[in-house]
Amino acid sequence: MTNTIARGLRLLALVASIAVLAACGSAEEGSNSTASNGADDQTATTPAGGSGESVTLEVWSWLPNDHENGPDTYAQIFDAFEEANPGVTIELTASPYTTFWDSWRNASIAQVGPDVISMYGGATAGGYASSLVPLQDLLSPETAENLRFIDSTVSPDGNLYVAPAGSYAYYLLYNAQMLSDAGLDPDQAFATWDDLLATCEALSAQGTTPFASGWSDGYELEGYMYIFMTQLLDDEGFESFVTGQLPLTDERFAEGMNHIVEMNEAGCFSEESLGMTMYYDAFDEVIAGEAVAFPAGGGDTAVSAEENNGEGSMVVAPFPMVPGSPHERISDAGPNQGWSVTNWAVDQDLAVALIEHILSPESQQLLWENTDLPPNRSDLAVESDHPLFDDYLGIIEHPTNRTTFMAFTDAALAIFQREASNLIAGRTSVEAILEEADAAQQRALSELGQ
Amino acid sequence: MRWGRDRAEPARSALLVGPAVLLVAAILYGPTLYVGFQSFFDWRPNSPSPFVGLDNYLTVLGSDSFQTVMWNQFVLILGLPLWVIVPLMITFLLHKDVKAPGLWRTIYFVPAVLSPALVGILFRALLGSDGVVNAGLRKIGLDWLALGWLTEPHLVKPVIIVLILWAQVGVGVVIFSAALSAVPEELFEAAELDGAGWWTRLTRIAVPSIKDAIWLWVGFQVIAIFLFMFGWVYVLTGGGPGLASTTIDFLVYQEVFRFGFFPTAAAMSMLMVLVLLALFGVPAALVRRRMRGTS
Repeated sequence: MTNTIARGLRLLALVASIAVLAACGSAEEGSNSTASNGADDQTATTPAGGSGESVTLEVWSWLPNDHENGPDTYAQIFDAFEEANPGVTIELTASPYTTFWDSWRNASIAQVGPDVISMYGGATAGGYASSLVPLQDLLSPETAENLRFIDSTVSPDGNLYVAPAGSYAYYLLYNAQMLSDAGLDPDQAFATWDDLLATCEALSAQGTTPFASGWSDGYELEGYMYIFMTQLLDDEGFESFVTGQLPLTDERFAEGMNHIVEMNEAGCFSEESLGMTMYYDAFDEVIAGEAVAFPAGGGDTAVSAEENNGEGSMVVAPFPMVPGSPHERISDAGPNQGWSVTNWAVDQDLAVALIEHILSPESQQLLWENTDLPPNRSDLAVESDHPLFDDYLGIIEHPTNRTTFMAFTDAALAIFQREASNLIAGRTSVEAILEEADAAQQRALSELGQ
Repeated sequence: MRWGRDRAEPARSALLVGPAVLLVAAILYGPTLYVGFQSFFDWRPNSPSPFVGLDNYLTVLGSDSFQTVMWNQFVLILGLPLWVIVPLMITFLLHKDVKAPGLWRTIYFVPAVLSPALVGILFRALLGSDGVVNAGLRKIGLDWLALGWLTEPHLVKPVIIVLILWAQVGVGVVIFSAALSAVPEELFEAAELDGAGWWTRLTRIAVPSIKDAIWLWVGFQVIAIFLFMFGWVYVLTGGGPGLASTTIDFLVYQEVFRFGFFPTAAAMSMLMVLVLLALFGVPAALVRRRMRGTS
């Protein structure tokens, strides 16, 4: 009996061993077949369809979830690409924003995942340099010539990992009706920096919240920093910053952050804002008419606020210039985001072709019409049927605009986000935040080889 | 025949235990050793990663963030007496003095089966600066008590301690109840006849009788404070304000996913393992040595 059991166990072990070996064999075959879909198949999977062999491009993005019409619109764009490229299938994974970045970090470590992804340019893309394909020599001249904000999108190592798509500008959205009700002149209330501070003092003295704000998620601090640093850096400083040469301990960063402190001291932000988030509490606050002003970054916010507060109630204007700015007028504006190709893409040519298709005037026009995303092409002018949105487009178009957003590394921004509520509550200093953020920035840049 | 059986025994044992050992090694020890190995390198996935010796550990130990987070861990562990005593007392109350103890145990257990994410969202809505609790306090004229429960650095850790108690008390009650059910009822009856009161029966009979279960529970709680706080912190406070509620597991996550600093994340992970080994391994070894000495 015992021998029978022992024999049975030995047999079981043998079968298990064979099964494991067989599984390894199939896994190996599987990985070989995946690899064979890569470089070897490039000739068979050209955008024109090649030999007709089927190819699937995996696309990861948070963008379709940004607008209610997003999923349908991106489906239309990808359908058109599939139609023009027989045998090609686009598989879109539309993640929530935070999930996207966690998944992408994992994919970039494992070097397995999507072929095409949504990405921010500059330092963010530079942080994933080992996973992304430089696009500067792969984009067609027609596309490269017509895309705006290329300079802001180049990473500190000099490569363009992201083809910028869509555009945005930070602007000041304010409720003229609430200002009139408070006895203030809506045309003058935010005309200059001093006016802004005086308006905050007057409104807060009356118990009205001047600026919709929420500091607990920390995004607001970085938003103000983009606005102020774009205003404060001259051409040389900007060039130095986007190439990773300007430390955050430069006095102009302290100057920028001190303007936020100045706003806080003038009563621009409510006490409750410490426990609120920018996404979505502050947006809700300005749309609901519970605060007068908001540094918005998309035209939709202005339209929603006006729909809720009555026609003619809201105004879209450039953010007032801070003292010490070398510019007469400038707004932080740039590409809304962009598209990248991973260096393990099953077919890089095809992936680049897909990006070109997303950036094409037809696709950008479709995105504008369906999701209100202004295009980022100099050869594609759009108009809105809403006057506030038109004012917003006018701010985006201003020729001096540029963005400092993409020159901050994710590591430095994480410090800003973490310390935002502490700064507003007076629990930490501007210098302490910038020192820590600079240490993170320098370390992140050093990993890019800067 | 007997000789043959003895020869087959080790092979059979190895075969039966082997898969489990391999699985544990592959899932648990393999990655831990890999991270431990990488913690001595300037680890850059998919790029050259030069050997840096103990530099990563020195960087971590010298960083203000890590020191703040270790302090947070220490403060959270101060909740341990609360997390042990409250379920213990509830267990003892349910042991005899309450009708339908099973129903009560179920009620206490419900929070333990809720996902930390759900609990985090629930309590964020309750305890936010404009949340239900503060709104209620303001409504009844207690404005001075409407505090920033999750936004004041000195309040957020005590709030988390209480939330852990709320979420875990049911599990403690179930574990202690199971242990207490094995204690002969006659002991309590005899003590009662001798005039021992409720407190005496709890401290002189119940606690010594179930001390192994209590130590098990203490161990679970300490491990949870180091390893399983992520879901709560992520949803409830995001580690803030600043680093005031950041725990070591959340810090490691931030180091990798927000900062992209893999070498220091590896060093932090290994330090976390070392702390847990020190907390459990050293006392366990001392106890074993003492027991050997006694025998």
